[in-house]
Amino acid sequence: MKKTQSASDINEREAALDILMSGDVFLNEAIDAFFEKHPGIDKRSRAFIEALCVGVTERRLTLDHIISGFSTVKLKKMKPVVLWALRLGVYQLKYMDLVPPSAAVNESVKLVKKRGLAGLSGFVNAILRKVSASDVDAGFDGDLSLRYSTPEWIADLFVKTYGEEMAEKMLSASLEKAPLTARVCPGVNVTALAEELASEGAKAHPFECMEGVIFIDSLSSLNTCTAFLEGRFTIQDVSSQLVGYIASHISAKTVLDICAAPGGKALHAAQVLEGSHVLARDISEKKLSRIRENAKRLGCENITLEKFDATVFDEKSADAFDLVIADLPCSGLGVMGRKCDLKYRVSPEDIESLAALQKTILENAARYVKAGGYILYSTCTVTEAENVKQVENFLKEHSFESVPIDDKLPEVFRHESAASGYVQLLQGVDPCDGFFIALMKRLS
Amino acid sequence: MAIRIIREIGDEILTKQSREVTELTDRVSQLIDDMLETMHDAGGVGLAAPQVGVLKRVVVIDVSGEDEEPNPIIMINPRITASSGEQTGDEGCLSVPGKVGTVTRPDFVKAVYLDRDMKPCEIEATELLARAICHELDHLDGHLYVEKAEGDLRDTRTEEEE
Repeated sequence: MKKTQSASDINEREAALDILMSGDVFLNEAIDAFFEKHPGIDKRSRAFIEALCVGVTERRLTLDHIISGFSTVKLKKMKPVVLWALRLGVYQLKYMDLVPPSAAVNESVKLVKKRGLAGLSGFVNAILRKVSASDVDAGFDGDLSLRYSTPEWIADLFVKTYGEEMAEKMLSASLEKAPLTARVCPGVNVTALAEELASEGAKAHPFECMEGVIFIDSLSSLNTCTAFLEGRFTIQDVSSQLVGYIASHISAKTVLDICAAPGGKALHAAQVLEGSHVLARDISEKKLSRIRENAKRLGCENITLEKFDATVFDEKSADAFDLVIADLPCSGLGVMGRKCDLKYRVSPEDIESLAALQKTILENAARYVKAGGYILYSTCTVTEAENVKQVENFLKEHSFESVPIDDKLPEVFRHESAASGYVQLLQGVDPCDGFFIALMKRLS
Repeated sequence: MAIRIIREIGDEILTKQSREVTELTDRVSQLIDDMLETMHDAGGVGLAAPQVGVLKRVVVIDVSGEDEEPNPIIMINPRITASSGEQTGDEGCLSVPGKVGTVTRPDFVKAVYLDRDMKPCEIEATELLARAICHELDHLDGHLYVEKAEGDLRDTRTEEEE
């Protein structure tokens, strides 16, 4: 007999069940915690476990709809193990072509038995066999919420704000696997770096619309990648890199990143603004230590880290900075593809309270900027309340003016609004995550 | 010791019934040594004598992990005396290169056999070892896992490239 993956001693589906049932934590944290506790799991098993967890989570609404179509028992009345085993089974049946239907059904049945619910294994078996035999097309024409497994209020909000066609592109992109995007550090030859990565077995191809950006595929691990460890590139999405890109067109000696974690933008600014000094603040010490590691790896010396709550006004920082980078906490609806459980966690009320939080932080930011200095405001979301309306209100209440950014952006991102000082980028429409960015200047 | 050629699916000999070993000759000892070497060389967890072209009821199994000491089990004239439970998982075979299929096997088996000194032994096995025992004993009766696989066999190579 030949050694194969699933014949090893970890039951991948059981691992996925454990992770999915780990309660009120973000899925990526639950996955990391599980692998930390079970370090012996090999790479392929890990990939399968992760694919199951992410897939079941991002398709959960669609899966539940399919299950409820075949069950006389309401989903809310099902035991959690039974419901999750069904979701796992249906996901494999409908979305994993490599898993034979018999295995998808049998493994879920076994999971339920193994968890002491042998009496319900017949129920699970019956439903999964019915799902397997049916050709439920997971298309659900016309119902965006079901089709893209996104809460109705989000789908409605997208349609209302951007129209049906755009909304569909955005929702569809939110189910795609986002690429691993790298920012190549200044002075590093992109072609040579791509070749070096290729020699390590990874595929790297440059982003044709923006200099210094590469997409990396099948890299085995960052922790063993020489070019990464030597600080020749770092991981950062295209949209997030636009902040540093715009900053590089501004002359600024003193820079504050008011909510810096995970630090990508602050480090980017520190690297592109020659002769500048960047103060990076964040409320979390743990996150600051990650920025510190990255700064060391990238060899950034013109950056200082400080634990500070952005909602609290700091007298000493008043009128002190040429540029304040304000990449603020937001609803994250532009990065649903990277955080697959986010869409179920955000509520319409959160958007209001996040907008209020952003307003508070912007108030402070406004007072930190020198006369003639800039605020570079950004979020990774697509709601108007947090973005264009936030900026409009800010400009109304402060002696700031918007600064055109069409000359400070790569051509592909120069939307019409760039001339008015901001762009709203949309996942699936623009070649990056959903992102908002605006540049404002304090009047003298 | 020598590495022997592994017969592949399509070879008549893999469909034939093997005969009991009645006495421990030098040839049988040599066969066992060669089978162990052949199995380890091919990265297998089990090998049955018909797979190297010998119709004798001899199998070798080693389910130790890559980081562990080898722990081979040599079984002469093995017979399963009890089995229970179910496990469904992927199985591959050195005689069916590049393929893998899903097979449901007992999750527990008990078997009697003679060790390489012809001493009677009994073993209780679960999980991978239980699967390997079932798989290898099938070879002695001319059966391959492909007859039992649920759904189609899959290519291991395309799976690795993902």
